[in-house]
Amino acid sequence: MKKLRPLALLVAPLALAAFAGCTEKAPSGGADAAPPSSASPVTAASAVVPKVKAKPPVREGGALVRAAGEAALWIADEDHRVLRKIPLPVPADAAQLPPPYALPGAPAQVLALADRVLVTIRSVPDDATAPGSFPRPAGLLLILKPDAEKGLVEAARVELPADAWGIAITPDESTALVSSAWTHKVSAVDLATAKVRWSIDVAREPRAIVVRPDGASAYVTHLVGAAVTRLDDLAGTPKIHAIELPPAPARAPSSKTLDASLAYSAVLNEDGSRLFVARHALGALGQGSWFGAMTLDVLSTRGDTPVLSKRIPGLTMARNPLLTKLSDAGLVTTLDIAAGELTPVTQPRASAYRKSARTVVVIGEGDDRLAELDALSAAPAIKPVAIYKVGSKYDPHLQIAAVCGAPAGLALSEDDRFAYVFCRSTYDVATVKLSDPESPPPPPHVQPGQDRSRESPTEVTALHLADDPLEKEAMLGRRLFHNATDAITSGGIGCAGCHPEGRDDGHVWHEANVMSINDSERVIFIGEPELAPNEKGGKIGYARQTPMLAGRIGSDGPYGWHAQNKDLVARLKEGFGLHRWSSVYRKGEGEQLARIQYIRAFVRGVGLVNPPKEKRELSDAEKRGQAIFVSEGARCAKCHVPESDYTDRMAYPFSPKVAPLAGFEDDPKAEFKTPSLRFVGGTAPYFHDGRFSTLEALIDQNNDRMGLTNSLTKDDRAALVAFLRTL
Amino acid sequence: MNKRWILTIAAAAALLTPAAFAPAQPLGSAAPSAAPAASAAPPPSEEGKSLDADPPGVEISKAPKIDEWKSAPRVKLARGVPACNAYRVREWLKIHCSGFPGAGVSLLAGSQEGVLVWVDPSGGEGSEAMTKPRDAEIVLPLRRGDGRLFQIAQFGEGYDGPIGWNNAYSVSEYWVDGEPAPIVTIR
Repeated sequence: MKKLRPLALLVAPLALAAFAGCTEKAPSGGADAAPPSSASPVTAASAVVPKVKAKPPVREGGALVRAAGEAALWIADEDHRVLRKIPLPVPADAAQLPPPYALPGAPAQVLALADRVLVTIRSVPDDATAPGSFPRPAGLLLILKPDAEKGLVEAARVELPADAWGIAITPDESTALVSSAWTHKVSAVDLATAKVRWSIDVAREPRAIVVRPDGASAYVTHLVGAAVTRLDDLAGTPKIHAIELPPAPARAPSSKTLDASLAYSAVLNEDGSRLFVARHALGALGQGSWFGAMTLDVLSTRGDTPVLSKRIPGLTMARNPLLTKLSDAGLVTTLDIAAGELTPVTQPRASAYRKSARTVVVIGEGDDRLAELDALSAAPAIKPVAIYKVGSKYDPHLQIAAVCGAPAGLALSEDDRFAYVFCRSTYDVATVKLSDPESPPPPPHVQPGQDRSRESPTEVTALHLADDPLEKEAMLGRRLFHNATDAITSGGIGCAGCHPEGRDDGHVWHEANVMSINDSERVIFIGEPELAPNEKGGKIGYARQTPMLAGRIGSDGPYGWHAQNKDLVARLKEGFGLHRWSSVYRKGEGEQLARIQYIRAFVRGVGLVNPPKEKRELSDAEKRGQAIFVSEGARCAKCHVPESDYTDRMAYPFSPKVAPLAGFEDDPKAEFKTPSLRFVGGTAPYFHDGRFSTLEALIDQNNDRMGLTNSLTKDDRAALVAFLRTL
Repeated sequence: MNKRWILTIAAAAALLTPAAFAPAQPLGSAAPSAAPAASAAPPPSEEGKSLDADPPGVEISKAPKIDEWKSAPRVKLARGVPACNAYRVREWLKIHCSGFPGAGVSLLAGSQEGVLVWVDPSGGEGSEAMTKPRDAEIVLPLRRGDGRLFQIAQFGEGYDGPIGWNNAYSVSEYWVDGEPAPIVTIR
């Protein structure tokens, strides 16, 4: 087995900047050019105002958007740190494309207006030396202007909280709203002055932003959690409201609200009366479900109420006697479970509203599919209108697409007949012909024995834009990390489904002993107890919170909550078995190991990007917290050793023991491995079972289980928390 | 073909013998089913007005009697399918689907107040049981603030194998408080 050489690890980052030898021309413009500082903004006087200003096709950014007023697409290519302009129709040859525009950091979203192109930059590396660069990781909003000679020129750059991600503009195009994912902020930027008007704290991992047509309010989705944030009074002092939007109510156990994750995108319908949030409903009920299902949740913006009510116990049902017999004999699924496509796409990544068909188009990073869902339904994902396969040329061994893998960006053509898709793991742009709204295709039908539908017939063409900047093993690892269809790696969801961008979904899984047809007993993860066939009085499995990976898997080992896996290879091997119902993964030790080596090369190399971290002097309170952390009195550093990523990687029993949370069994293994505290400020909830929603609650209720914190004063605890947030 | 299918097919074959059928057998046991809302499918008629054009009022009335349904006009839904017709009496809606091997109807989410569901309980002989056309019906009130999802199942190939069931039609109904009319779709 080939291993990634140390030299290759050094070379790979350099390749990000160079990426020569592929299909591209050298990038032009921005990264190395001296950018105008934020002191030289685009003023109202200097802004180019066309006589007839074209409206942007959408007011929300994306990894791919259609340009305003011209036949072109813009792609924010995060891994190559460039902005790409693709003329429409998409040319057959990449040589016909203009050179990409180099950016000062990794972009997340682009939004094209008639006279400006806005781009969010997740963070500017702290070793940047270009004039105007920032001495610490910061997010940026770049304001670019079309230029006849250079294509684009930078008009202004606006410093924002790090990990700037989503963009949306107000209907009057005066204000851009930007989410900063890791630093959980939303900021408003006055586009006339290029100044930040406000920046506010919101719930964890804000991503998509959608502004209502009246311009007064906006909705923000979160990668973690079921609620959506509404911001009011955008023009003044914004007010924050958490809006409950239960994910997949028709697939939730009766009277329960599920967790949600992966809400990378949201769209409004044509009059703004409905908000559609594409995401993953963790633990949703369905045929073959252990992890949950993709859902498109619908919120009425009139009163901010979900359009579908919860499931209630004792649902009304009528069955033909034959179905009763088959069901009672355990031969078929019971009728209270929604049948059919469990997850029209896996790991939803972007969405678009198709006005002509009144559908929402969603792309799935995990299965390289595009689903068209009925925007008039209260549960659009239950019965898709159409499903299109965009990935192709699948590796016969690894089952990963060589063309259009891991779709991440989506836009519709002006006439609504085509979808354009940017595929993140293969760096292609695909053109997908959508169905005729007047004669939609036959409904997708689930293939026997699977939870996957046959796709609708369609025409897809793809143009390769660039090669992966990573070495080959890590490149394959990237594709496997995002892929949900390789039966050896997982049973229906990719690594990125629970570890989006190497982070975590905030969910606590049930590691449960379950019976399966092929095995007398198996241990797997399930999202909710109701998914298990042998639920024991509502309690099943041991609590296992999804851990964050980025920045935490550099060590040789051990891994696992009980430190039961000696190294990352052993952990991945156990993980392959935990993330599925069937035992297909057992076929072929070599097939498993090959995949493990590729994934390891990706997650250990430069594939997973660490969250941004400020390098700065600690404040007085943080210094005090640090002193407490390393003190003999508190003894935090005894196990959370600062020199080794704040862990000693040993497992210790809790004393006093903690009783399991409702729905979970008591874990007979009392010892839990000391987790790394790197980036701990951004990984709520806390404890192996997620019982503490904040670091404050963790410290307050620690009861001397981890270190000695009972004797700390209120101020000491606050200082300790302040220090933990800096790690 | 996997092991689970083989077991399913073998066991299902036993259940498909004629002796296993009893047309008079009570309907589903998990939750009591209603009798059909009408004794027979109403005669086909022209597609009627949409709910937008003639929305139900605010008054709450008792569920219509069988005779009322017999003369109920058809309603045009926001989305429909050829196999299903919708009829309306006051704020009550009936959806009648026919010509498919109906297996069952379930309310997957939302209030069950006033909701009645029915599927033809008749059987068949041997494999005919899986393909015999049967009707299914849903009656529900259309009221502000409602949000419901129904599943109309048919026998046939599905997740459980060739002898199983799948979701023939998905019926969605919701009425956002403050909006002029409910939205009902069948797919």
